Amino acid sequence: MLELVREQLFFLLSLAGVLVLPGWATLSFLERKGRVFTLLERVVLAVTLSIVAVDFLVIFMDVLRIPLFAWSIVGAIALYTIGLRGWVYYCDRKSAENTQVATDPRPNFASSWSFLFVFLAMVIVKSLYFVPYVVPSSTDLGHHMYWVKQIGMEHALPVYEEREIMKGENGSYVGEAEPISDFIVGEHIVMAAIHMLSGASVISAFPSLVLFVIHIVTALAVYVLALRLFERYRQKEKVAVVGLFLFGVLYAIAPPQMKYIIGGVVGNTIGNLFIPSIFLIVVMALRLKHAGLLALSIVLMFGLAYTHHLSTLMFAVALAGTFTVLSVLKWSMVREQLWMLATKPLVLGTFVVCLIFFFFVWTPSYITNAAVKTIVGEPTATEHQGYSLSQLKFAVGEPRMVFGVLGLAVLFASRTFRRSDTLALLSGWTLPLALLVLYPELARISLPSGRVANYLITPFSVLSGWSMVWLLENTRRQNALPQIARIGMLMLLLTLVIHNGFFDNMVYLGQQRETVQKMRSLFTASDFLLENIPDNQNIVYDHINILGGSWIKLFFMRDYNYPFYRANLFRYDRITDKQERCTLEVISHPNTREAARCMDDLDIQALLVSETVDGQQFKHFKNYWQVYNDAYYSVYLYKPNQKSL
Amino acid sequence: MKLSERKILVFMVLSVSVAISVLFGFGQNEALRAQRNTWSVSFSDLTEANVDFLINNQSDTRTFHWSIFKDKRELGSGSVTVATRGTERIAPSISEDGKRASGKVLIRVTGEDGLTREIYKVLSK
Repeated sequence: MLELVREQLFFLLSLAGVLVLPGWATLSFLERKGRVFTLLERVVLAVTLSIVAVDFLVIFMDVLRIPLFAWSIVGAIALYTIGLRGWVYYCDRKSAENTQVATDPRPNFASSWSFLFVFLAMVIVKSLYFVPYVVPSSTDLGHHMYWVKQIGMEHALPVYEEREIMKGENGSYVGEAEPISDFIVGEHIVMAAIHMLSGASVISAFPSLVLFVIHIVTALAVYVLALRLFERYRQKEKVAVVGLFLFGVLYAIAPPQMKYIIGGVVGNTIGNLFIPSIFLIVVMALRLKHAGLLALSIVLMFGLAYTHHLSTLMFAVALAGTFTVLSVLKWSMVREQLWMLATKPLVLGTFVVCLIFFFFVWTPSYITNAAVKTIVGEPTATEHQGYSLSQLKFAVGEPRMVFGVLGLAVLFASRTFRRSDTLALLSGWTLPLALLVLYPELARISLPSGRVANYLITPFSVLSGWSMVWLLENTRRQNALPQIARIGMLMLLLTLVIHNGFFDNMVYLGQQRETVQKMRSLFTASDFLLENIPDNQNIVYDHINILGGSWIKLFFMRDYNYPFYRANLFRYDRITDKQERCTLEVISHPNTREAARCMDDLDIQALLVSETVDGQQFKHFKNYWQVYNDAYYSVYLYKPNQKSL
Repeated sequence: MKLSERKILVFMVLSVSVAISVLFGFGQNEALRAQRNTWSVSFSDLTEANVDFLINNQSDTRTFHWSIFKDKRELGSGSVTVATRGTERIAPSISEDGKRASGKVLIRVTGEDGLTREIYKVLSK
């Protein structure tokens, strides 16, 4: 019990040290001349800025060849935090000596019980879904944790590469390590830092819990952004609370929410926090004409580029859309104020430094591998060919879509907002992304339409909050309906909205799996393979029927692509995907000449398969021994030249 | 009724910390509980030298009955008690008519939970 408490404490302290401290120090430095953000905004930005600060600190350490241990990371964070706080303290003393009083434009947004209730409901619903998945099982998360573990073992940032099975003239062989573009370092640095500081095993609930915290802060980011965007509206708190409800409580589990957290979609989860955070800072920079904030937003944009390429692209599209709409609505402001701000030495200098760092000091793998070229062009894959309006409605959530569109229309018509940065941001954010989802061929960018549609959920949640509150307020104010009719309308509205979103939640909450038992079996089988199969022999497992098979590689840490695996069958039909068929044949048709040749060429000695699905066939073949068996899986050993049974 | 931001923040931090702690602790307990629901059988070495095997017990089942077969003919059997979170090695004899058995030698283990596991080797003459 004491050990458990100690582990939890270390984990919470590591979370605070990595995800809060550096960002809080950065904020206090930025606000040394006067507060800019509310307390809740500072919470959101502290986490976002911490992720960026830790990313850049660790990258810098790696460039300087400083080994990455717990003590060196703690030292770097401490130096950074103390340095900034020291500077703030010095500036405070100096300004006291100069008898200059810092202005304090901090707005005072007191929240209400409704926010507390919605926030608590959100945490409870999401936690309930989390319970069966505390033992990790997601394939994607397993892939990411391989690199996190490698950082912990090698004490340096990883080189993202893998060795694939190749087909040559003389048979199959394991090729040389080739770079891969699937991962970006920002997805792994924060996880690795928490792993090393807390001592938590990567094969535990800790990675999902870190993503869970980031996701909760993302919901808070949506809330504070809505508050800022509608700060001129008397009912801004109601807008923000309803927006939070629509974002975080309804569809609380469907992608990109808890399904992504459990599924280990690390980069997208972090990217979802960055986007509203960056927009919050950009809005504040423009409103306060604050060059420092604009420079900070540039640093965050590059931080996003080091974390998730799709989120970076979606943010760039949304930013371009916002700028376009703003130029149409307020050209004079753009021409004079924005230009003046953007050409300030601090802003330009920050941009140039970030650019140099990005292209010459530490370039993400998707740039060095020219992976960008793969998305340019006509969308060819089925899932990249766009959504219909009905599919988009399903992806975003029907009430969010309907009220979101209404919200946009009301903004355009509203005297208060029709020429505002609020309209520019929300319309610039939603319209280009919606076009990308519905008509991707127009943009000539090949992207998974479902993933792009997910990026509409945040702005539609804010717009829906706005339109629902506006509807109810206007009905009440204009006395258009008798009170009983207004109450009836409100109940009907709530029923429609809640039914849709909670029904979605209940579908996911009802899904139970034998996840934990299967993962324990997998780990036991992996231990067996590690102890009994020599390093010069190879292993193939079945990804199709083995839950969370990617976690096996964390036992071996030989290569990202080891053990080899039989992939989903459709991948073998794609010429650009799986170009070898050995991993398919040795499990699907183990008694064929081709399979035998593959086993010999690649020195494959052991196969890990689901006993009920694939195991039975091996018992009929003379060249296999069944050497391990548990509740779900078996290991079959290849024994060529075996005499007949 | 309005609340100050500080009180809201304290509430938020507390609720998220409690959720994380509960989930973290639940994860440890769940993993341990699942461990007590599995047992496996494997050979202790992967050569033809012998058919010694291991019962790795991570369940509440304590008693296991094992049998060793050559084709469908039983060569031997026995019972063994394995503690929870323990591993027991069994070294059965594989003689058939006074000689070392050859061919497919199968070991079947049945726990008192009614579940069965099998492993086999094909021994040469």
